[in-house]
Amino acid sequence: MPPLSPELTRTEHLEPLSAAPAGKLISIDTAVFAELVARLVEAVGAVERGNQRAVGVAAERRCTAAILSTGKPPAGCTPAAQ
Amino acid sequence: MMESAFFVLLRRWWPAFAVLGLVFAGLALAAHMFGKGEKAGANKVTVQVQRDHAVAVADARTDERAAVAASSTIATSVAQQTVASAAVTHHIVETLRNAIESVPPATPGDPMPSAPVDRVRDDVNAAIARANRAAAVAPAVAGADPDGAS
Repeated sequence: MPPLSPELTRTEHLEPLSAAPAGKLISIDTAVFAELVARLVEAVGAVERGNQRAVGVAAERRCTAAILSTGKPPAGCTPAAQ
Repeated sequence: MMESAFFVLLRRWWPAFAVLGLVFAGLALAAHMFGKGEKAGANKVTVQVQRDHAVAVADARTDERAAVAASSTIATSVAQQTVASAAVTHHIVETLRNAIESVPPATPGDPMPSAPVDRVRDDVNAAIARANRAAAVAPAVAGADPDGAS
């Protein structure tokens, strides 16, 4: 099997929240704030699952290609449990 | 009375004719046997090639099954990670929703209560750290990442 381009399994990196309070206050409704926070957390979770899939696809190609070319699962690939 | 020329020839040269006949018979026999041997040899080679081919195909099938199994193991592992990640996301969302909604309502005249921004920041950063870790971690052997909730 041909090697998979790293472009196809590139993972994403997120920057953490780090803002220091500026002292200038605005008000916001709790429901609106809660929704903003919920969507943010869901988006972060989606990135996590996307990263898991990217890593999984890369591993799948690495393992299957190695097995098909050498007949043996390489290190890091769980042996075929049949 | 003259004998026919043919019988004269026959009487004088019969040993030569006999030898000639024997030679032809021998040649015919040799050709036949050679052809048989050639055919047998070809059959043998064909059988060997077929056997080699069957072995190669069986090997390829075995490798293919191993590859399919490895692929499905990884897929299962990723599916488990997805379920775990979704559960963690859900848990964080619920926790923060409770934290935000439990802020007491503002009473007229008093200063407005502040939002639980530290809590929100910490939980969101924990989720972000998980997302970044998922990119770095080697993929997963089934059942890995027992990270519970945040």
